[in-house]
Amino acid sequence: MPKISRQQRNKQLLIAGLLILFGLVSVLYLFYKVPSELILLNIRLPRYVLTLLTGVVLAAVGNVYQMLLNNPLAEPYILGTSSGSALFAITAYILGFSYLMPLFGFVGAMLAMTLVWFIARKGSRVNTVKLILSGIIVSMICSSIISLYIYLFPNQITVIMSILMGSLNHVFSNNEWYIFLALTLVSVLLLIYQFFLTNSLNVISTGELTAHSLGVDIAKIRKRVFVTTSLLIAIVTSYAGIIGFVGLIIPHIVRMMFGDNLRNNYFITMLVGGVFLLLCDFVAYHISPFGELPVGILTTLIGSVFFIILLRKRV
Amino acid sequence: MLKTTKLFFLIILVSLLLITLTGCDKSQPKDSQGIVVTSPEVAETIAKLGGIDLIIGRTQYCDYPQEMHAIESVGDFSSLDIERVISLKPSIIFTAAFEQQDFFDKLKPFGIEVIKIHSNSINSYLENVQLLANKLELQDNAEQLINDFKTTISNITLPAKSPKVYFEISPNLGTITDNSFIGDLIVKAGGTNIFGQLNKDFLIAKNEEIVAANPDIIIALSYASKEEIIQRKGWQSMEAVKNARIYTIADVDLDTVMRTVPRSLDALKVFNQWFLEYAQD
Repeated sequence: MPKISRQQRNKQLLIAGLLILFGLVSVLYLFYKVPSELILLNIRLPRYVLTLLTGVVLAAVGNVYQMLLNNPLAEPYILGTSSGSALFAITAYILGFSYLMPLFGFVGAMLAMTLVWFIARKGSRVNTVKLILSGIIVSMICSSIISLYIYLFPNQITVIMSILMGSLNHVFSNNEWYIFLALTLVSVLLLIYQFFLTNSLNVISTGELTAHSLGVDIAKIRKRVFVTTSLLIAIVTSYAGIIGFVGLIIPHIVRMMFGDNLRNNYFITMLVGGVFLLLCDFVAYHISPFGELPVGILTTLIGSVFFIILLRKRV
Repeated sequence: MLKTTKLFFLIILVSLLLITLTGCDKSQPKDSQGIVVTSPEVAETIAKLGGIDLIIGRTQYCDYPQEMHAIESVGDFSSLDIERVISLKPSIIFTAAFEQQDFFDKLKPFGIEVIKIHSNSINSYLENVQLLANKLELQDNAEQLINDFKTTISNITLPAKSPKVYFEISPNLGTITDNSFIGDLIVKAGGTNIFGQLNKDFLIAKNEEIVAANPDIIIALSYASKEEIIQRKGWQSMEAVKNARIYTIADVDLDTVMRTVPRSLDALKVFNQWFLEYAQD
């Protein structure tokens, strides 16, 4: 019987606790105040899948960006994909094609990513600082066009704001649901693929010189991560809009509990991200008699409180 | 040297004061030529009351009746050429509420009478009609219009069974309650709004609640097509979808519903017709 250290055992207990929490939150989310089985299967369950996927992807991508860009403030929207997605989704709505919003959102995200890459690159290499700056610029351009829309079409403001604030209440049509399931499968495959890049990312986060001398092809890894994460963010943002805080704070919380090794905390981050967003959306959905609260408000409030508690403990 | 500098600054200060005092002229313009209307609803109502000749300025969306297009436009629904409005020297300016609240706030300081008009029910609309008539001395036609509304409403045949209605006003499941003009139209036409009893006038409905309420009729003026609505996951069990009782912008003139205007009487009759058709099955 191999002796495991107390630290190891604590981590294992924590993971077990998280898995139990995941089970409880899932049951709560699916069954609390659900009017009928029909609604459970056709409306609650799709929403559950969307929320879970969004939480998982945002946390995973946030974690990866923080390692890749060597920046603790990095989050999934830093490279402009979310603003591009929002811009195109809003454009679709204004043109009258509200049912095409997810498609436009996806196209917008991919276009923004391509633009960000081409602004920042030199040959096939990118510099992290240039990448971040390029992302900020593209985000700002998209934001200002969105502001222009708000100025030109002020009576559409409620829908525009709901896209910008993010919401998990997407109304799926029957066909759309199958497309979304396919995209969920694609996302899972992408997340698994990304796992195999985590070793290299660990090395890269120690610094470019060290990474180079250890034989890591930084440019190749960066490109692969960039493409993978952009696809993931595009998928999630086109259905859920922009949900802040999850991608920024969950990786930090996980690192405080489990350490900095990306390979070790990769799947845990996804688990915590999924549970966190399920919990926030559950509260956002049931708490107000007038309709749902925007979930972004809850992720920020609940996340901040939890983060401050952890931060104070560590200090 | 110091004494002359002080005197110099004193003279400048006094002259600045005199200039600013003469610049403020808050008196009512005596040679006023008419009124400015920024709200499309008010413009149409005034035209119906016979007062279209009084209007010397309107905004772009004040487009009914046709004769409105001949009147100068001083802006669109969201932005106003304030200087132009003031230079027209209107005796009164009529604005809408909420979306045009900032017009109201910006025009107030100029000393011209600015009136906000908003109707959240048929009765409040008729009160506003009376207010406009009194302000502009158009009482005769007002009486006619108000009576038209009252007789139509009292002569309406209510359906034997009142259908449960889901009204969709915007694509993200935005809906209205009985506390709004459209909600009042639905009630007067004999329908029951599934979100009728809530306190706010507008809210974003929850998908689950709509399906659970199982409406008999869906009125979707949110630019969603009938086909889209039928395809919504989980909605196939809904009475309205099973019987294809879904009415969209193709079935009624949007302006008669979304605006509180004399033509809204037509919308009332159209709704009533739909509800009676439902009761006959």
